[in-house]
Amino acid sequence: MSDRALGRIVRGTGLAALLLVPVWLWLVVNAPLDSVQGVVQKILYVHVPCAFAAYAGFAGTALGGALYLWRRSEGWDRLAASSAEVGVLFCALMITTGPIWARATWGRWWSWDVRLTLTLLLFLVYLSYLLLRSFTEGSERTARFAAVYGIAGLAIVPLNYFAIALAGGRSIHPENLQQGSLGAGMRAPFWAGVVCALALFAHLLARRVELATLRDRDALEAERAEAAPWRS
Amino acid sequence: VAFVIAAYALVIVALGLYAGWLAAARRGLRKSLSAAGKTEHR
Repeated sequence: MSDRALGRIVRGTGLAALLLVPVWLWLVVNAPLDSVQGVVQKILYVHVPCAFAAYAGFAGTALGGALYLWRRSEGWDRLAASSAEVGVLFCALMITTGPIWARATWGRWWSWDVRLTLTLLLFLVYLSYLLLRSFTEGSERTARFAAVYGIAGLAIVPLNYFAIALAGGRSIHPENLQQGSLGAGMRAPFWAGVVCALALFAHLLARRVELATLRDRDALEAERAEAAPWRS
Repeated sequence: VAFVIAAYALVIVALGLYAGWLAAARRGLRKSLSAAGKTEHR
């Protein structure tokens, strides 16, 4: 992708996020209170969108990895690595906002429930992906291995999404909100949150890809200067 | 209410810090690349 096209995506997604976030916050503030949980339920308008953005990040890693294996273009590898980093950030926010809600609702921060455990596993799998890449930076072998690892890790995403149904009533985590447990007036802040999180994800991803491209270019310049010191 | 504010503040601050780090790193690299370009041009 050209610098100009990437710049356009950065500006477009940034503008979209800038316009959407105030609307979403306004909808959250004005959303009706849940009759059982009260105001604490509003945490779910930020917690669940973070989960969607994390899923998008890990899907981007797998897609970038698959395209790298097929085309062997460094651009796809940069997309995969950048997408994992932004995905891990959103996943970290999901597993920190969740316990805040749990402390206020369940009376404890954490439970080794199937959904929570799978979320932690998902976070650790992609955090390991980033660590692995940082320890062995730059080689084609690393990119190939990371691509396969990133694709394999994606198997946890559907397991995580359907964990409540798969657990068959043994999970204490609430069912997926979008599957019908949202009351009147709660759909708008929820879906606005999802759209906002995805816009923010796209914006941060585009900026991270831009940074990775500049870093590679800078490393190439340094290599050139080292190979031909009389030019600098 | 404190729990709700804490959750939203955490997300906003974390995303803001990450965006700030991306911007600072980009600025640094742009400077380094333009300096390398100028040296080569000379």
